[in-house]
Amino acid sequence: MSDPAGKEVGAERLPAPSAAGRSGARGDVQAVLALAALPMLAGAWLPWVLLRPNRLAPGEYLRLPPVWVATLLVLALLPLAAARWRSALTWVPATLALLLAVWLLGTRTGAALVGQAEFARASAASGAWLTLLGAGVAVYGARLCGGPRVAGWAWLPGLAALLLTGTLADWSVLVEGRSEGPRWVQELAQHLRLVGTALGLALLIGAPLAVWASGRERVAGAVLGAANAVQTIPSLALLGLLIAPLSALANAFPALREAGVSGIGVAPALSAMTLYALLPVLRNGVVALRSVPAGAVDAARGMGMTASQRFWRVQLPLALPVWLSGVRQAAVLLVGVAAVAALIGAGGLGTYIFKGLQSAATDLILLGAVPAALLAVAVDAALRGLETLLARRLGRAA
Amino acid sequence: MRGGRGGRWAALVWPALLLLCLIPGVLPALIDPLGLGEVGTPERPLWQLTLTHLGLVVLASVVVLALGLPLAVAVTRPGRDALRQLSETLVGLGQTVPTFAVLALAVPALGFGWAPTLLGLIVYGLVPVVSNAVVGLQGVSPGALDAARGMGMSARQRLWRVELPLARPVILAGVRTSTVYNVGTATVGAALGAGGLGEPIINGLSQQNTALVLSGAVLAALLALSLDALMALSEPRP
Repeated sequence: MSDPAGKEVGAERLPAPSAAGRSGARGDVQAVLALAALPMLAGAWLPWVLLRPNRLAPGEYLRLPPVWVATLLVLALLPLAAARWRSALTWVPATLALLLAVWLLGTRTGAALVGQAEFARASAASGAWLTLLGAGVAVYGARLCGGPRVAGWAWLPGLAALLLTGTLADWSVLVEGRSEGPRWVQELAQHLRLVGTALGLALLIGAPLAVWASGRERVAGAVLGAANAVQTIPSLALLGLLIAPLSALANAFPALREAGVSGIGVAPALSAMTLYALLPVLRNGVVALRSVPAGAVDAARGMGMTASQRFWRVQLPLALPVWLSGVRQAAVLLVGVAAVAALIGAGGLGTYIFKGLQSAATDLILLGAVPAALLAVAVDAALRGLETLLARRLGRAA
Repeated sequence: MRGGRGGRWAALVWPALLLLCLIPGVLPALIDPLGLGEVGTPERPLWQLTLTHLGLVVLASVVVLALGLPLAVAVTRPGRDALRQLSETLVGLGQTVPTFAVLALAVPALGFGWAPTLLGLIVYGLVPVVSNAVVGLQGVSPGALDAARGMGMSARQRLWRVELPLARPVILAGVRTSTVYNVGTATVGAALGAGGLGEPIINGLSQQNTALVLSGAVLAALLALSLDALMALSEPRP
């Protein structure tokens, strides 16, 4: 969050894939694969499944049968060996390891539940998590080893197939998700609604403000300073600070209360989220508009464009890619703040996290936290894609 | 980035306000007349919660520096592009995944209390420190390194006498961001039973006591603003 521009520096410099399929991968790529092998080796030995008579009771840890331990050990070392001798094929064992880990989690939880009572739950234990982590890193490392580009994504259809065929159906988190069913979908929709509304409001307020402030030195400084101070305040504290004035407003004006304004619920959550999203939208807007080359604006003026033509046809298109990256930061931030907003009754995926924390039910925590994390990653990727697309459409190298 | 001209002024006002609010009786006297409820006398006084909060954040920052700086130095050595990319990808992922999700995911592994919160603070605090340190170390001009090599400096000397001093402002900015964000993260940690200033906020919300919420929120906000302003003093003025 400190330096969004700097973060992308490294991503642009992908190394050239090693020259021929037969040659070994570079030493540092092998180091990445060695890092991937360590958690996989440990994970094969550690317990994979935690079986409990119900979702709260303590349970017993189950290990993998020796055959699968051996298979996993081999698969953990194969990417390293492949990178050494056939680096273009490294993706094969790496992808296999990831898919096998998911499949094993599904079948082992299923096997653990055979003959158990209805409320028994089988969840993933440390071994499964470590193996999945290692396999993920191995797939990442394999993409740096050369070979066909598409192969780096080979795990995606495989994983989708495994999930769609219900391999993980007996995993405790999905069991919990099934019993929540429609309510979970509602909370997800509420989460998206909160993020969307707050982002929309922030754009509605922030975009004109950024345009207005970008031309004025002192105003720009003051606006950015105020937005920075808001960003410094912890999100939970900001939610708390907004409850008092909003409940006072609702008490003073019954009409507002009718309209849904109150100290608890969606209104303070939305106000806090909008304030939070305002900073990235404002900051990147001001920075982007100010970095439009003066020469381009001068040329437009020389062509006889009016002020509004200059803005819509020259300044805005040139500023848009940087501005959009501010919108992306705001959206990702909002997904996280929305999770906390569940505490003041705004709903969303955070509801499950708090419910799970209150009743010490791990599966409920995962049911809220994992989708929230995936949602943030998906929002980030989607808006990054949009940025690249826009930058290309506007005639710049992405 | 933050601070600017009002930096010195802010470094005086926010801590002063924080200390004023921590004097027993001052904050209740300010909040109670608003008619939102009574701050009352919580089991632990507010100054103690503030110290717990500050302690968690400072401890996390020390661990983050001890882990993050060597990591950033290790992955920016020549010939380690793949490791640098891996760390950048992980850091980018850490930036994207919601804080609260990271905290909540630590509970199954570590149980309730301050331990999962500390782990969350360390994981989340590593993100700005590592990304800024990598950017700072990468940004050291090749000319300066060449000159140092020409003077006969060893790799270790170049690191300590050239690279780290030149990257220092960027690294410090990362530490500042990390610390300030962690004040916020530690607030959420109260939901995991970590104590700190999130405790009155969360208790107040569940008891419908807005005054209690306000007392925690005001102190948490002042603590974040104070730390931010104080740490800004260590940055060179533009």
